[in-house]
Amino acid sequence: MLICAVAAASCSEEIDVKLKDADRTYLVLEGFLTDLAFQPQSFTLTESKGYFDKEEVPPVCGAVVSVDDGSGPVYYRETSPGVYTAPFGFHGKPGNSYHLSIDATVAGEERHYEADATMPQPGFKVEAIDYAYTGIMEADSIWTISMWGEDNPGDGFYHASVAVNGNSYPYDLSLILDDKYFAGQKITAFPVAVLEQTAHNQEVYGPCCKFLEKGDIITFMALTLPKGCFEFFFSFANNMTSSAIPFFSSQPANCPTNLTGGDAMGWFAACPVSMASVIVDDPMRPDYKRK
Amino acid sequence: MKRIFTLFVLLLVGLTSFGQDVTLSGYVKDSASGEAIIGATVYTADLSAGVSTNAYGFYSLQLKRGHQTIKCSCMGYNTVETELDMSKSLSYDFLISEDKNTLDAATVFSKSSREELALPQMGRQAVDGALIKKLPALMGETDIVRVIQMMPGVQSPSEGSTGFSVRGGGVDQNLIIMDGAPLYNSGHFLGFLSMFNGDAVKNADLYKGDFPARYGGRMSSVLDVSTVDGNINNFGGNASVGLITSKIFLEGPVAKGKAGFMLAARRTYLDALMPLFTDKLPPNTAMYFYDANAKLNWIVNDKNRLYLSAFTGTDVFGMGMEEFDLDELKFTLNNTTETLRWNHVFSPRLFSNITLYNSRYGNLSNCAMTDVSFEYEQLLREYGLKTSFTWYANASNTVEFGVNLAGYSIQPGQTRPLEGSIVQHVAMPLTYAVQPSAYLQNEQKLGPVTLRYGLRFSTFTTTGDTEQRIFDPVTHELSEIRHYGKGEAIRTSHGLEPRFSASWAATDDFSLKASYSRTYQYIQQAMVSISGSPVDTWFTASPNVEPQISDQFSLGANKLFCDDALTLSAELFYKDNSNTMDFKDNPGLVIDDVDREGLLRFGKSHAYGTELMLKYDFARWSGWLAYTRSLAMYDIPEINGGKPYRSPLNHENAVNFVLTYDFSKQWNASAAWVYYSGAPTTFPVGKFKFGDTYASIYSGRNEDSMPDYHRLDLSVTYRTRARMAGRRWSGEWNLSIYDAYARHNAWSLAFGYNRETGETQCRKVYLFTIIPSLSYNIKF
Repeated sequence: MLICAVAAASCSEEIDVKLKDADRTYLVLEGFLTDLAFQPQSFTLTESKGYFDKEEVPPVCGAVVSVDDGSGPVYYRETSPGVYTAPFGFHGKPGNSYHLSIDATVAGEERHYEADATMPQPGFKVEAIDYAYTGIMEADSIWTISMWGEDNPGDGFYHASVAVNGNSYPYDLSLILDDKYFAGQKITAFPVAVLEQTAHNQEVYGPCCKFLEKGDIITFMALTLPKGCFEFFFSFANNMTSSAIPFFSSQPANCPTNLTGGDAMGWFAACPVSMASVIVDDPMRPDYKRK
Repeated sequence: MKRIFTLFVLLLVGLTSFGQDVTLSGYVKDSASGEAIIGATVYTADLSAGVSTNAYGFYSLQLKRGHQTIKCSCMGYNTVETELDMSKSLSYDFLISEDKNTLDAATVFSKSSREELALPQMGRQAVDGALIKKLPALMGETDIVRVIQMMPGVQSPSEGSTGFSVRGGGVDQNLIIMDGAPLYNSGHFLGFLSMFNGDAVKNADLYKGDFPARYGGRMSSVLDVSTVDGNINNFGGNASVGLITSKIFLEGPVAKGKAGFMLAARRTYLDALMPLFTDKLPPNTAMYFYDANAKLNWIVNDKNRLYLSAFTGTDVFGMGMEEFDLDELKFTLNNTTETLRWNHVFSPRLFSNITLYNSRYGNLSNCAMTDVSFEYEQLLREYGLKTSFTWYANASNTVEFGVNLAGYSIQPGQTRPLEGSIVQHVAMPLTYAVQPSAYLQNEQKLGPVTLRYGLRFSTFTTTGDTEQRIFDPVTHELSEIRHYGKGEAIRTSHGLEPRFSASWAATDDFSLKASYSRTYQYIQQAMVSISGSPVDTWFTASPNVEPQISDQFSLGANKLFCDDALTLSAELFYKDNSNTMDFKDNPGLVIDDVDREGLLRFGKSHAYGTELMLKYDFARWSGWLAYTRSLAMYDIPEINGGKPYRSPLNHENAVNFVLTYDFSKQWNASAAWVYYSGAPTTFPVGKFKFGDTYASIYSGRNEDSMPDYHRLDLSVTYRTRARMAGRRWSGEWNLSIYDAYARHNAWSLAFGYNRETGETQCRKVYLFTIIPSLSYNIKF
């Protein structure tokens, strides 16, 4: 009993909570407009669900999605249910402004959404990444990925993500950064990810968590986010875990959005990308090759 | 405001026109220890005049010339009566002896109820040692903050919380004073015990809104605690050994009849005992606290007394969490105060006190984790000088006035990397401030009506040497960083704080009361989470933060029944606060943010409620039943889409039930039951998928409620025969049970998406369940 009082975290039990009905269905927009010319630009549209609903979120099909860079709308084509892709070659440029328009049927209701975005100048240049095997902890195989690069002066907000052989690490394992404490500095061996490559994680998160082998390619992408989009990701990180971790959690609140015209989640952002890759040569090497 | 001031001056001028009688003045002391007694009543046998002793045991009573029978009484003491020839002013000290026969204490208690009835004081709960000792003891000790939390209008924000919320106000809105020095952290970890060691506490007064003018700086309540001065006649003490806590208390003369000392110390050792119960203890578990009080008192002569008090309290709480690769996460909190007080009796009718104090509060968090080890520290220091005078002008008027000067130096937070860590050193700019204030108050008796009116003037200036970050009030973006040199004023705020209260004793067992008070709060906390985080920061009034202002109105009625054994009281209150602050939606982890003032949003808040209390004190059983119904709302335009929202600290319905029963002089049992309706909180209503992760969608802030909270505590005390006979060595056993019916009260509800099951779920996290404890206390 005393122990229960003390090892507080271990005292928890499942509880039936009656939640208010989700009387509103939100359109959820996911994806960025990037400056990568060689990658297809796409957005995913889904609907929100009641909190304890067990069904998958339904894709929003048959929507009309367009992005206008001032020279007329570019229409996105639905390439798979809920996924809308721009004609090949269309991409964003730093400094340009974009207007997004979506006509969609959400929860049986015709809705029209709009949003504006301006692509900021790249705030960060990734020069290289490297990996080091940091040992086995409770049978987990851990690699640390570090980055070399340079931050541009001025405010910068970043979304950093890692992919193994093109399979991205999920959002809940990626990093969002405010350059407040390294603005305008040269960065060396800055750890950006700790990869836990285990069978268990592979089952939960997919092939991105595979045990590293010779020839695997690790890619690191840093997206420069507009401030509003950074705030969206910041609150998304809060809202995806627990709604209340006493001591440190702020009071729950919805993620902000820049979509107007109805209930929506997500942020329409145009982001420049800086990226670098490394090919695994000796998976078990304990030190970085790069200094 | 000008009109109020003019009225005030006119009322005071009126004082000099009253007739001049003779004055009886002096101290009321415990006959055995020489300890000054607070709140004892000195009155004429015909009840035509009476007065209570002040915080130093001093009284001054204006009487008609001639032979007088004077009585002195106090709860827990035998009433004494003396014949005095009052042909001229006289100095007389009453020595009263402790009432050993606790079963007879009821009559004394009723007496004090009768006085409470006529006082122009609302929302005050006097918590004296005798009452505390009757209540359920947890871990062998009854704690004053626990007792206070059983009073109507006072609530614990959440289980395990170390603070308390008064009438929906924040934990930071309570002014907690120990021997004249403010404490910034009143509770030990997990909230079982407060910083106030029951052995060292002589008296505590809690004011819930109608503040006397001598108090200022906090909007919701004042808890004024006086410690034991120390026996000037004989050595004595007690010691107790419990499963979780052990403590010792010593007192005795330094110079017999002239000077005495008091020492009290406690230490918990839960972490040392825990390996006996489990082998699965997290690594680096540390969990203990200690506190110590020391005091010297010296009766220099009839006119002068000196008191030197010191206090230190430290909590250490930490553990490693392997699942997060965390070697150690440790919090260390410390609060230390020193006070020097000098009482001087200028004349039988003019009493003064000068207090010099220093209070330091600091917390240090250590996080040891591969590559990212750091420590985070916050420091707050307040020091000052308070002068206060009480002028017993005549039988109808008592005037209090004084001047205070406080200084602050605050390090709001700095992060330091530990060896080999990639964390950067970040230090918030330091904050310095000075706060001069002055007050004047009169308490006037007009037949059955007693009035108390006063005015307080306070100013607060933040100064350099520091860097002040200034944020645009509309966009909240950093607009300027300005450097201020040492002593250079950054911003001055000031305010006039009128206080007024009136009571009308309609009959000798029924009274009506009304009060109004305005308070300014210049230093405040914005809470990251409702449970109160060890890293919550204090913000001072600054170019970005306005001082908070509270106007509180209350109305009340008191009625005595059944030969004064029952007291029924009812109070209504309404509070209107401006410049209320809260963090914006999704502020993130603000502890390392130098721009955190830019994360604050401002608006208004209000609270209102009804408090009912039935106090009973019969021969064998006593206690009270209290019910509170209250609502507290925030209205901050930039939060919650501009819609007002409920305060997360206010439980809208609360019931407190306390019952103690004396089976015999040796056996005593007590029970306390508490019920709170669930605290306002925010639950998700929906979810959305992003990538392959779900996140929550919420409705409005605090539109939902946590599960209701209720708990029963029981305790049984057995005093050995030697204890009853008052022998030198005597013992006492105490068995207590916290949460007797083992309810798992929710501390938090954790909603989340479980990747492994692919489902969203809700888990209730609770801190405590049934906790029995046994202790043995020896008195010598």
